[in-house]
Parts: sequence; C-alpha cells; structure tokens
Amino acid sequence: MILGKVIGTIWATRKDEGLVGMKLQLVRHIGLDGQSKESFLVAVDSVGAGVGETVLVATGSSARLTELTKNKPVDAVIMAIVDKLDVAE
Amino acid sequence: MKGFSNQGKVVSKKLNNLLGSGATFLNRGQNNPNSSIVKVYFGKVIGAIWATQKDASLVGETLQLVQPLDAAKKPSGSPIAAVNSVGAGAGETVMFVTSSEAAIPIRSRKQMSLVPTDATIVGIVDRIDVVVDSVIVLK
Repeated sequence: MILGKVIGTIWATRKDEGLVGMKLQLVRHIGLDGQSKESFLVAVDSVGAGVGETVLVATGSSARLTELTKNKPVDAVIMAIVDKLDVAE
Repeated sequence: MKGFSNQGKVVSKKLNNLLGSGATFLNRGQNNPNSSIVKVYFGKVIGAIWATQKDASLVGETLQLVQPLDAAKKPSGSPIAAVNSVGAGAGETVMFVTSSEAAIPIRSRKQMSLVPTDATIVGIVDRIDVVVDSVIVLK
C-alpha cells in the first residue's frame, strides 16, 4: 500500500455506472517524514477519509477487493486511515 | 515463483505455509525483465502503522512499513505499507508478495473473499544463499 494524504475531493456527475455512489478523493503521495511528494492519484474512498487525513491506498486489482469496489472499474482504493506512524530509523 | 532464473535461495523458518520452503527470489527493480511476473520480494521492516479505521477484513491485522531490498540487502525503491501475516518485527528482513496475490494469505486464514491489500509479508528471512559465479555465498 502507498502512504498518502487526502488533498481534495473530485466531483464527477457523468461517470461509469459502476462508480455511482462512490466518493473520489485526490491523494498526494507522502514520504516517511510526512512531506508531500510531487505525484498524486485519484482513489475511491471506502473508509470515509476526510481532506487532510493520512491514508493507505491499495492499488491495482487489489483495489477491487472491498465490498464497495467489488467488480467495479477501480484501480485505487483508500482502505485505511493512518492514526500514527512509528518509523524505527 | 517458478519458471524464471534463480538468483539464490532463501532460508526461512517462519514462512507462510502457502509458499512452501526454499522460495526463490528476484530483485525488485526497474531493470528486471520479469517485472510483470508476480514475485516474492525482500524487504526490511522499518516501522509500524497504526490505523483504527480500516477495511473490516483487515481488523486484527498489523500493518508494517517495509523498505524493499535487493539481493545484496541494499535498499531498492521507496518504502511501502504491507500487511504483516507472520508477526515480523522492526529491523527484521522479510519476504513479501505484492499485487492481488497479497490477499491470498489473509483470505485463506480468515475465510473472507475480499481483502484489499496489495502487499503482504509472508516470511521472515533467516539466511540468504546467493549464487555468485556458481559458488553459493552465505549471507
């Protein structure tokens, strides 16, 4: 999974039928120090993450392994909200 | 994990039973011609992630930060978050699987079909034997 920070919400009225009812979040990649990286992705939110929260994003076909995204055209899903990060080094 | 050239063998007492023993490995890197094939990677556990709110299938699972390593145990690429299915601790060298296959260990243990993970630690590495010029080097 990738560490990221929710930086915004995407609204799209016209989209694939399978995506109706899903919340699309804009997630920026972050490093271990919490610093934002340049890259970002759009992910379906399955846990109710809000803007500003640090999250874990599962990508690829694993993104379809939630009740919400099962068999849907999704390749990135927010599946956890990070409370705390313990880095050993 | 079969069908491509080996770079060495991994010895692990603590290995998820799905893999059997003596798994072979490849480097995790961009230059790898087999990068589209599902593989087991090496990594070092460098931290833990606490997440109360997560997918229901992951309740009770621990999440660790893993720095991928190459065969020489040098860091290779960016750290990733992985589900820990073997109880690995910080500082330990581990093996992990990625892609949708990462769901298999938890899926079979919990009898749940939907487990949203794309990286899962499946073994703690005790020893790595690397073949260099037909000679096995113990590391």
